[in-house]
Amino acid sequence: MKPARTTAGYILSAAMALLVWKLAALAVASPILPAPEDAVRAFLAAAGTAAFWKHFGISAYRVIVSILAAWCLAFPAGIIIGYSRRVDRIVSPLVFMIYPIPKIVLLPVILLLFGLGDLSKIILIGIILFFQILVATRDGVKSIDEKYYDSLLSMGATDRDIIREVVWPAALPHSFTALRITTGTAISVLFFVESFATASGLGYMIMDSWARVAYTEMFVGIIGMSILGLVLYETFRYLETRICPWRASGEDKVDDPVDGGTVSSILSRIVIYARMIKFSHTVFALPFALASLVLVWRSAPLDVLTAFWIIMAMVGARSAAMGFNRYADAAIDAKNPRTAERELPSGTISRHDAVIFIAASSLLFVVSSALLSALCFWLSFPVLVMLFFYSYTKRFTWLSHIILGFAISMVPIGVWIAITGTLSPGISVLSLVLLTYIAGFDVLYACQDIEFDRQEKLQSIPAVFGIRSALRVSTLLHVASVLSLASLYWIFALHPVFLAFVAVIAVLFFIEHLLVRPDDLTKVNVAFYHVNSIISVLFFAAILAGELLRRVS
Amino acid sequence: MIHVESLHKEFDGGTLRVLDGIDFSVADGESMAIIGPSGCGKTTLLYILAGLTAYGTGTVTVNGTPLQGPSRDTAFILQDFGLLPWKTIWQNVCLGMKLHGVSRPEQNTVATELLETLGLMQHRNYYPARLSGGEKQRVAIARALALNPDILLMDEPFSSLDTFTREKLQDTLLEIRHSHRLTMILVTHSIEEAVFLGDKIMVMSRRPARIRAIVNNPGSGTRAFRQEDAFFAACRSIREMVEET
Ligand SMILES: Nc1ncnc2c1ncn2[C@@H]1O[C@H](COP(=O)(O)OP(=O)(O)OP(=O)(O)O)[C@@H](O)[C@H]1O
Ligand SMILES: [Mg+2]
Repeated sequence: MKPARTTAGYILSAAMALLVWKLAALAVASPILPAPEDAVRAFLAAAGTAAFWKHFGISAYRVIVSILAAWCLAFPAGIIIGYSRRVDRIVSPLVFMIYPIPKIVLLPVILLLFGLGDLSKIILIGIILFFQILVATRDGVKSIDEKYYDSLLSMGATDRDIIREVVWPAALPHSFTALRITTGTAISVLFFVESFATASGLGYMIMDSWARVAYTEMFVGIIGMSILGLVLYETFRYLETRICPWRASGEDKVDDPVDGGTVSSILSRIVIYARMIKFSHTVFALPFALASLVLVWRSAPLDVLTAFWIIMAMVGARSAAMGFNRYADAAIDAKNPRTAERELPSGTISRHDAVIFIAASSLLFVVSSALLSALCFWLSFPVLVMLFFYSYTKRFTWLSHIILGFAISMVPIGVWIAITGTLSPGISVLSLVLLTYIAGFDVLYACQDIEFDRQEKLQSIPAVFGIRSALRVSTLLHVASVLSLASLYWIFALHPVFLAFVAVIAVLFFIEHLLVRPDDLTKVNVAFYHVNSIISVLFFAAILAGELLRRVS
Repeated sequence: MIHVESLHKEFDGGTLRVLDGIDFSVADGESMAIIGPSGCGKTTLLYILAGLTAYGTGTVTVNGTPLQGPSRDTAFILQDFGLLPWKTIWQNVCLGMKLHGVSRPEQNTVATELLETLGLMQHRNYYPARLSGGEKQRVAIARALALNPDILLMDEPFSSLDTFTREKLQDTLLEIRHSHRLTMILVTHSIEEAVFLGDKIMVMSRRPARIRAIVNNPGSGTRAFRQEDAFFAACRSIREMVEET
């Protein structure tokens, strides 16, 4: 479906709904059914209050975690059941026996086992979604044409190869369809579990205002819940339609057997987007966010909900920044043989799709920040500007590496502000570690592009000062990184084991710099990816160990 | 070099006899076209040679060793190609190399060269669904050649194509066969194709399939053959043989 048509469709159905509502309100003429304009006005007023967003945030958290958990468990399980005849024979009868049972009857059991908190709610919604996704995935795998297996087997593929190259890409769209179709169920169950034993969430808001005869407020909750459902539904449809445009004709075609020509590429599309934003490189920044959480934990209590929105904000910010970077550089990347195969220059992702992707990621960042605190919401805009601005710096200054480092090093500071509402000098040092670390390896990376950058008059330390000096600068930055890391030992009074980790990190940096020589840059990618992912994880491990042992001793 | 001796194959626990005593050999660099009625067991025979289907009794040796499962030296192009719809042309071509752990730079070199020879370079980021039948076939050929095999097995490779595309691809195949020194076995329903591409032509009978004849076809191997009288004569004699079955 074309976006324009979808929008028109939405407006039309919304208008119809409002009309019917208005007529019904006139007919009933009782406060139980307020007029739509009153409800909408109340909703807009509520949308400006923190209380509403608190309920909204908690409901969103519950349902999103349920969906993610259900998908992460059901999708692999569905693949195994669908692929292995033996497992299928044993497990499927069981699954199909449980499948039609309304899982909601398990509620008392779950409450007894997992208590009255969020966990029970998440588990109940999760179980219901789990079976839907499981069955859809299994059937998806069963419907794969034998010829794909045969053509891989003839190339000597193993079971693992077949699962990686055939089974899971073929099954993925089925699991997304299942997710989209079960959005309604997920929201209903969410309402159900929020209607008792809790004092937060939109379901609670609805039931509570109902009990207080505050009907307009009740409708605010209802509208909020509808919006939540709509956003989820549209997200899943976006995954299906933008990522595989041929499955776009909506509900009626959902049960069509997905044949070879149309299954196409949903996986590759995701991989393409993930590659565009170098999702895998998240390993470099995420450990720092987690490390900040560990440190902040000391001065402020940390709840799962906050941690969740922090991670969402990070994912949004990262995707937006990298997406924008690729977008802004598309013309430059197209000329560089090393990057010409990237998704935008090669046309694998259209500019239009890239813009939508960037906008959606930015929105995710801003909304997640807003759900953290008002301060975070306001700060999210300058941060976004900074993240976008970075992309242009290499056109006029060789300091671009430092600016990249700075942009990424806002992570620990951001986490700190999100939780404590203030800034501390200590956490700024952790940011400095990250800044010098990222800037240092960005200089190394830029060595690969020296010829190209010079020719295109782009600024980078290697292009301006030569490879030899660049390697020296990179070494200095990494020395600074290790030193500022070590200083955290005193700043946060960590356990001495922390210093042992620092020593290991220093050795790894040393190896990394040995791998890259002025006359041999072929190891840059190895140095980059493997050593850095270990270093990043060690950064986190160091702080975690230092902090935990400090507590026990 | 492929050598097959008194090969038997049955399905459904012996109730469905498909191949009933097949003997032939194909020398290095030689090509053989197989022709026979629908359902007689041609695809089954290719699956056996590709190491995908276990055979009943008999011996099959490839390059002097008994056949045991799929081998890197044998490439197999399935009846409808089996290109993965979720992979781009480029990724499809690199697939075999990826499975065999060929390094990225080498994958790039090989894939670029193949796609360029087959005129597919500008389509490399497309998904198979966007390609025409002839283009898909060329991708399948590129993918098969990527592992630099000695033996190429093809199941009705050009049956879904129009005459013009088909003849162009037959010419391409002829060139590739010579430049890569391929041993080739090709199943086809077209007598002209069998005569044009096969150094010899194996005519099979109805199921359970036996060999009716293996006809030598010395004229094949050049583009010009298609216009020669010998070509038409060979077609006529094969047609007579096929009509008898
Ligand atoms: N896995 C199998 N199990 C049972 N029977 C099979 C199997 N594979 C093939 N057959 C049967 O074996 C016979 C030969 O099949 P095959 O596909 O080899 O024929 P073919 O000569 O390639 O036919 P066509 O020219 O129509 O492609 C057919 O009757 C088919 O139904
Ligand atoms: Mg066949």
